[in-house]
Amino acid sequence: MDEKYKYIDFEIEDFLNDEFFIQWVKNPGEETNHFWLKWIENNPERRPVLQKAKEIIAMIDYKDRYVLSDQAYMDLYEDIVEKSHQKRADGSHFHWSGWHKTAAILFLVFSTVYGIDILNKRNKVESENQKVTTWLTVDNPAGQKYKFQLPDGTYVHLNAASSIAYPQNFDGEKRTVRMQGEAFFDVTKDPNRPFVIQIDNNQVTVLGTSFNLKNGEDFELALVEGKVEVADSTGGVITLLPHEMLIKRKNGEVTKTDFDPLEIFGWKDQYLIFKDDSYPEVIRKMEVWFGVTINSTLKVDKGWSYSGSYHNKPLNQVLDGISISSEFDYKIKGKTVTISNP
Amino acid sequence: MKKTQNKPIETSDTSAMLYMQHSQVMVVYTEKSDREVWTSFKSGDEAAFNYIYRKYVADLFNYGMQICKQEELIRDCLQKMFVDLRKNQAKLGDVQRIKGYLFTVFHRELFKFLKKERKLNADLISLENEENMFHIETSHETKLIDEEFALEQKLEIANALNKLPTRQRQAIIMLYQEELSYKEIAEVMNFSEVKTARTLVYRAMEKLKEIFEVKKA
Repeated sequence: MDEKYKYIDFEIEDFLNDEFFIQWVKNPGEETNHFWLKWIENNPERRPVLQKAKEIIAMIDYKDRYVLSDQAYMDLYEDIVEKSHQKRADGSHFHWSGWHKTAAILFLVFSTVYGIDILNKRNKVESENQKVTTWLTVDNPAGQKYKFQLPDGTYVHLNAASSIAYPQNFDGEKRTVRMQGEAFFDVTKDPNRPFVIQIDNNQVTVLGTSFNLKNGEDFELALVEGKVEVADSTGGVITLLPHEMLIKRKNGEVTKTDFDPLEIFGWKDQYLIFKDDSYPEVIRKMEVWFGVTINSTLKVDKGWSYSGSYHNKPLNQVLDGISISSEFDYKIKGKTVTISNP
Repeated sequence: MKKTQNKPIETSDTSAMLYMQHSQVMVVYTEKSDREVWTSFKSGDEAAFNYIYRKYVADLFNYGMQICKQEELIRDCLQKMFVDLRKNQAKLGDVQRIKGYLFTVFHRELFKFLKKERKLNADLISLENEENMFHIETSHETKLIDEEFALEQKLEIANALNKLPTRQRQAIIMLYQEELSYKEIAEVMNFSEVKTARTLVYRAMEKLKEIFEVKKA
């Protein structure tokens, strides 16, 4: 039967039962769009029925959607990969670390020889540095940010719950520092002495530039200006250009995106930013920002999220702001905050 | 309320999990058809498996939890399914749509798993009361300017949907939310005929027709 005539006697339940119609509602493509728009044009009196059916299809959702936690997501993946290798029927040898390196090929282009070379060199540099250099450490607790200058004039904004170690004098071929947590760097230009940040598995090399670097659960580097190279322990090198952000997740995923400067390094100018943050994330951010412990018995809906921006605001004002949209009571007692249902 | 909907593979993937976005692996594979991805997986390509896992594990987990709300059990079952698939990858057949295939395998695996676990641990494993499975919500979030349904009507629709037999609710959710075809739904729900899946949805919609036809106040 010609499709054009097939639909002429359709009632709402027929549309709701028709795969070609559902396909158009959920995933409109050139073909379906062409057909259905034309059909509506030819049958204008049927438009409300079609519209209703469309809405019904689009509004159906799970009442309870269960979300796999990040941790479970990663653990499960690792377990699957490990288990399916261990018991391989052909008895071939399996080494987790070996697999892991292979897996890196998925995410990064790298050369093995180059990778080993970098590892060796880095170890040498470190041991040489340690022989002659006194290292200084700045360690911020939660609730405390700090802005200071390194011996070469580089500005560092160190975020709360973060630390950085640097030599008293940069007298090597490279300006090497180590850090944990989050910092914004405005690196003084010196084409002859690269500025190198070493963290766990990554090494960030720059000549002169400014960027925000966060190394917590994930590694996140947002570049404002200049050029940055990030090398991992396998030797994979990624180059970043201005306005690009590199995210390397613990599960091995590597992403380049653009970013919203206020969201990423508004913190250094006293902007506390929430952007579609989950409840645990909102709590965590406040704990780190204000250096408090938050105990919450609040029941939040699944899918709860919060966005908001606070410039230079004290804790109670931030709590007031968030409680407007999600209605809770809170008590501040010294360094402890209790949040509960009203 | 944040919504997660599966868009076609060609466009950007907005799955429930953040980590999916923009990943290089995702970029490489989103341009390929399901059949190509599956063929790569069968030939032992780790990146293809990585992609399959990222793309479908959240939906499968949520599906399993609708049936049995014991998270650890669902995770164990997912693990077993994926490990089995990987071990037998070379022997697997061709697959046109990975999602439908995984849902079918997972559904079968889950019921096998539940049966076995119940034998070992009768007290600990309780299958959800059927009435509690696959509850539906009508989302209030819509981008349409002219809405045919008022909020109260949407709630009424949700109410009526949740009074339907579980199998009808499941078929409706599979069709509209998971975007499976009737053929795939029949496979997942173990119907010998595709028609059965189609009829399930039709009966439900016919029943709700009265509510649909009320004029907006």
